[in-house]
Amino acid sequence: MKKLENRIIQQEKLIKVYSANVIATMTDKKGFITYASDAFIKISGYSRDELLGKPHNIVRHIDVSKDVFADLWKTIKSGKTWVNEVKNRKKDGSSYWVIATVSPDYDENENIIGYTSVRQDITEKKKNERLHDELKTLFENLPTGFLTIDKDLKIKPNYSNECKRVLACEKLENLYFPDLVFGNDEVKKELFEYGFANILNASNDFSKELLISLLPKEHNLGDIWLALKYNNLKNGNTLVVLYDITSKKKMESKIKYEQQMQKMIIAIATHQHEAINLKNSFLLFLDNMDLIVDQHKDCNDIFIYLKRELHTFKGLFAQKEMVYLTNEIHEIESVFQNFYNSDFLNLKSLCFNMKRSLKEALKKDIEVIDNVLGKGYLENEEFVKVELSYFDKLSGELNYMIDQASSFNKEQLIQIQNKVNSFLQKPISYYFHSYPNLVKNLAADLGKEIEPLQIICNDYISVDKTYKPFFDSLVHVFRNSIDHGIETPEQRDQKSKPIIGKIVCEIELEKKNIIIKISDDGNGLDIDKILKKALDKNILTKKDLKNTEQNQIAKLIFEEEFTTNENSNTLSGRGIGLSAVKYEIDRLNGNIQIINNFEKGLKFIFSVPYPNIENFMELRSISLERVILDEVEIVAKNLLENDFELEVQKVEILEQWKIFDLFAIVSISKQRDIYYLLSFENGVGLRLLDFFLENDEAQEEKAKFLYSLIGEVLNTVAGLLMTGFKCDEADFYLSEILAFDISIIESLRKNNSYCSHKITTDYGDIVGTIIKINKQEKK
Amino acid sequence: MKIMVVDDAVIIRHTIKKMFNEIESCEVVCEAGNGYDAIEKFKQYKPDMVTMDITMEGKNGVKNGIEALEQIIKIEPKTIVVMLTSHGEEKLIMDAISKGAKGYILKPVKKEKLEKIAKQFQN
Repeated sequence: MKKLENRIIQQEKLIKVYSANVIATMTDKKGFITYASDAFIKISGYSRDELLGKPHNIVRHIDVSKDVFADLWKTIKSGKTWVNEVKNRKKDGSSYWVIATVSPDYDENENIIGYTSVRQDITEKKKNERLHDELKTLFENLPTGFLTIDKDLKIKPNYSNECKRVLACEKLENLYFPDLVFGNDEVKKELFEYGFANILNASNDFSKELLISLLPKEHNLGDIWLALKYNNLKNGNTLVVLYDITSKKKMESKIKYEQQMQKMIIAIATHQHEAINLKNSFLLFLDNMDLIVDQHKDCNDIFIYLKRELHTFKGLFAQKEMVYLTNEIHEIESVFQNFYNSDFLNLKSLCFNMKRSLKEALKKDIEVIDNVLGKGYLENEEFVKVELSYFDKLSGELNYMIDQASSFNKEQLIQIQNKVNSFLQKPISYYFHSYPNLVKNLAADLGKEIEPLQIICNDYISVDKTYKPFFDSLVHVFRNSIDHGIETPEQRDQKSKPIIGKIVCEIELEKKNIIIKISDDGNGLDIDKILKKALDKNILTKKDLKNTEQNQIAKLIFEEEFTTNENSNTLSGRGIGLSAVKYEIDRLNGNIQIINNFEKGLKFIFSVPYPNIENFMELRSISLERVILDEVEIVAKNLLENDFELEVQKVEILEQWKIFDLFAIVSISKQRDIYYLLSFENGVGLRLLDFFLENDEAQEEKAKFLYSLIGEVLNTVAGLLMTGFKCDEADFYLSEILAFDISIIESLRKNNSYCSHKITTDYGDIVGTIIKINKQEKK
Repeated sequence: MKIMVVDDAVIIRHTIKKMFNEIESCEVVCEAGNGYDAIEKFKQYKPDMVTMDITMEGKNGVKNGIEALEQIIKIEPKTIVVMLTSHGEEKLIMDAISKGAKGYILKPVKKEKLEKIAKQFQN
């Protein structure tokens, strides 16, 4: 009996524990709840009373489809157990997830009398799963490629979808990363592998970071440009982040291409004559190629000849920025590398192919030129008319590019823009060329004797049309001088002046202004007369008078409605003449000065700002080249008479030009003599100048530094030249022909001399030119 | 910070020296034009930091900047050796880093680059 009681107590305990911990319900055959455990009550949020006798679908969640329940009923009705993850609804409307196990209950006769379901709460697990799924979806669909590689550089299984796209590969697992990414570039692949081996062996994180910074950061995979970032993970794997930077690169290259085209157009348009010559001599070279191949017996001779000629042309076309042709020649040169000791047949087919590809490349360049500068621009030497609107367009495009450009490109673009604008400029004498005639005619009309008008001006000064109205308005000044200044011959005779009057116009550049001086030797201004008039016309009051200087009074003639001559005539107008000059000069922010010498003459000095000061300098530096060459010729002549070893013949800083125009002449002798001229491009000088401006060095120190710079360059040059000496060929050439007029190069070549080599230093380019090479008999 | 500048080009040495001397707390105490001299000067002046050109002509068995670096690190492991290099010399820099270089500067040398390096190693 006690045993039985104990058992009942035990059972009740068990039921309690079961009820508290197992989420269980029982239903009758139709699904009405007959039992609900405490745990079920807790999780469902209903009270027992609310549940018992109710259909079990009270807890059904709207998200769960009918099919699930259909499947449930079908299964359990057939006597089987149904197990599934189900989302249920709480009383308050919220939800929870369970794994439900539903099985039928039977009576003694094996008839189904109801169903029992027990559940396990999997809400937390479901939450995590969902979070995981969301993160995974997010990760996989990020527009950035993420992948990890292990120590063997193999790709680990998890990576974002973007990786598949940018690497054009569906399955990346276990693939060898360097092959997949850098497969098309052996050098980069090697660098990557080398770097990684070093990273794995690195002793500390600091070195690792440094080494990572040296791995390839960008890579081109045909259609796609990738940027790569690497991150060393703690577990020894490496996270690689891939960005698609194709559109950025495309934009960059488009800007670069446009810049290149602009450069070519400008190089061609500013030196049309040269470009035509160059094109013609290149075509001649191509046409004569077969003949030369047939005439020569030694294959190697022809080969060397072709190589040399092509290299020269490459330099010349590069100067003209003709990219297609330059690139094509470059390609051919690299083919030449593998072409020693060839036979004639090979050489002939090579020439044939070469001619075709070169002509095609030339055609491409010419197409671009024709499109912009007009068809047939390189066909003849006549000038070509270009629509003004084209320049506006070009200028607009440049403006846009300048806005977009980095500071480095900006400088270059602004230079290009200056050049473009210079097309629209004319030498200042152009604007004055009609004045001598005008003065002559005026003088004749007014019965005055005047020497032909002298216009003294510097043709380096060129300006655009904004100055034209001002220059045109100067007609009034000339009229004024002839009409009011220069006396009649009789009057001049009485004053014992030369009977023939004289007007001189001088134009010069002073600091950043154009100065125009127009002077005559007439009777000057009668200040008293001007004063009287000014008072009459209320331009001045008596009060003003005390404070007004002579000079100031003279300037009154430029005021509106002012004329000193009582009888206005057709030529002097009605006093509007000089005020028009004032109007125009004000517009240009210029000013007027008058030097009055009563009875003896009058001088007007007009000053207007000149924006083209840089262009001006450029023009001057062209003539600097000429100066250097002249200088060199003299030195070279002297040197020829002596024997000499390597020495620096001359180092000069041409301070009257600019601090950075320097040159050195080097002569070298062994088997032959070489005169080598070094000159510095502006860029180098500017950088040096910057360097000095930062440090307020003494003049002496500066000079010392500049000399040591030359010394340094000479080391390099001498080294290069000496190496050249060792080979027995008649001529050698250094890396690049450049920067000289084609005619100079031609003349140098005729004299068996070669020229030009550009040395790039940290400061910029230094140009070296071999001026003359003379073969010498060995002693 | 005491600095030694090693480069075979006088101009570059001159430039770096001037730039460093303008940076607060930096002082160039000596310079050398090749790896061999660099080691000798290092022993004499004991600089805290060395900027070392990676490609230099050899002298007295010291072939290039990396060899000089190795020997300097052997003498004083704490020395901050920063390599001066150009693009395309990545592998050489990697070697140098593996052999104890603490950084590298890509040419052309600019004051900002030196400032950054100096700041990084100030302490």
